[in-house]
This record gives sequence, structure tokens and C-alpha cells, in this order.
Amino acid sequence: MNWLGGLLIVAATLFTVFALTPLLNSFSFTNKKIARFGVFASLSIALGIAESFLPDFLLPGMKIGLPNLAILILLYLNGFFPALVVSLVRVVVVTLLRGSFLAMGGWMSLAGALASILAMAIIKKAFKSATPVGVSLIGSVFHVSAQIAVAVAYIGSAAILYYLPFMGLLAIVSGLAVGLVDARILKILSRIGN
Amino acid sequence: MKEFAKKHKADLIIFGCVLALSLGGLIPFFIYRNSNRNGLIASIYRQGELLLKIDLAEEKEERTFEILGTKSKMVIATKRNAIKVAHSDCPTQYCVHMDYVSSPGLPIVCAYNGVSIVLEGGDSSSIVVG
Repeated sequence: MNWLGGLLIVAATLFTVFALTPLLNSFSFTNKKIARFGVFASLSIALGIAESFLPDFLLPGMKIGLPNLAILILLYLNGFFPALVVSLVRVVVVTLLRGSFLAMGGWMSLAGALASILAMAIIKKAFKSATPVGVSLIGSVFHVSAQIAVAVAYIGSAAILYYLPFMGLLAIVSGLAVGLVDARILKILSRIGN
Repeated sequence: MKEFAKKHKADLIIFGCVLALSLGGLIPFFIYRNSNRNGLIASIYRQGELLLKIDLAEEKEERTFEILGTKSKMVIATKRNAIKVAHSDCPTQYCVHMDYVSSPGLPIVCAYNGVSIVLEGGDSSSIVVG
């Protein structure tokens, strides 16, 4: 995994320099956005740590996806870039605290978070009529698929792919649950003028 | 109902596609699980490298043996037509909690040690000990 870790770090650095800089320049940092950014970052970190203490959701390594509760709301309120950054911050902080940073669990978390936020942003953009339920569903399924892909690469055996259909079904359940909660929260936030 | 479907068209399409893919993925699993019931071969891999193949149908009594994972030793237990991970030093113990597995389908995986135990139907005519 050393070469893969090195490659990912190089890719992340290049992405940060070439892609995020113009994005940062175009992003308007209002006080409201900064405060929201901080609130949702701490919320997703707290949810991530809380989730790590919960028992697995029916299958080994399967989690409900509690941090997605916060990240999906931020995606709808502030857009893709803040949700992506909060997602990455959450993964780094939680894996550092749990001791799985740069270990298999950390890579699985990172891959899942990245795949999830990218898929959610694309579906939200492509399907204007998609509600948070559908977006969360896609995020959940891509999260699980990316985690299994990393596990296959890490262990070097495709045997884990047998778990994919089962984890897909469980991801549908967890994605629906998170999406329904978020849809309700977004409704309330829009009513009180978020 | 029609109004609900119209309002949530995108969500229903997403849900339908994801459900169809997941259920579709289960079909080969159940076909494989119920096929080839002549014998049971367990293949033990470490980081994709075949370590051992055991004809479980030939196992007469319960026995245990050790293998070396990428991080620690693991104790494997076998009995007639079944295999399990009896002991592993992995923090999560998922592999141990699976207990005896006796049909092809879901493999036993210890991600910590990079070990996977895959069961296949078959006989011992071509056992290869890696």
C-alpha cells in the first residue's frame, strides 16, 4: 500500500494546488457560510466518532452512515465544495482519533467519503427533481462500493466482492433512513430561514 | 399515488436501479451456493496468494492448524464439510464471529491479516497445497 498511499498524497496535493485555488478565489466567504462550515464539520466529526462506537449494521464493517446526515445537509445548503472539504476533514480527524489513519480502515473511509460526496453531487446536479432521499441513497451505495473496492485492493482477493450485493441492500436501507431524516431537517431549516 | 410517483420520479428511478443491481447481484450468489454439491474445497489465500487447499469432505474429525497472516498467526479449525477461524489477533474479530461456514458463497475474510477463506464445490482430485 505504500506506493498507493504515495500516489494518493501526490494526487491530493496536485488537486489542492490546481483545482482548489481557483475554487477558493471564486467562493465567497460570508460569515454565515464560515459559521455553517464549522458547525457542520464538528457535527460530522462527532457523528463519525459516535458511529465508530456503534455495533456494525448487520454485516462486518457496515455502518449506518451517520456523518452523511450532516454532509448531505451542507451539500444542499452550501454546495459541493464545502461538503467535500467537510467530508475530507471528517475522515482525517476521525481516523486520526480512532487510530486508523493511513491504515486499511482509513483508506476505506476516505474512498467511501470521496465516492459518496462525488456521486451525491453529480446526481443532485443531473436530476434536478431528486430529493435528499434519492441523493442520500446514491451516496450510501457508492460509499459501500468504494469501501469494498479498497478492501479488495488491500487484501488482494476478489472474494470480498461476494459481500457487495448484501451490502448494497443494507446501503439502500441506511441511505433511505438518512435521506428521510435529512429531507425533514431541510424542510424545517427552509421554514425557519436556515 | 400517481402524483407521488410524478413528484418523486427521479428518486424512484434511483431506488429502482440500485435495488435491481443489488438483487441482480444476489442471483449468481444463490446459484453458486446451491450448485456443485459434490464435496467442498476450502482455499485459503493470503494477499491473493494461495496458501492451502483442503478437501473438507475428507476431514474425519475436528482439527486445528495455524497459518501466518500478514500481521499475526491465525488458528483455523476444520471438521467434516466445515471450516472456521478459531482464533485471530485482529481487533474486530469478524472472521472469528462467522463461526463454521459449510457452503460456498460468502467467504471468511480477515482484512487485518489479509487472509480469505473461499469455499468451492468440488472433490480432491486436484488439491494443490501452496
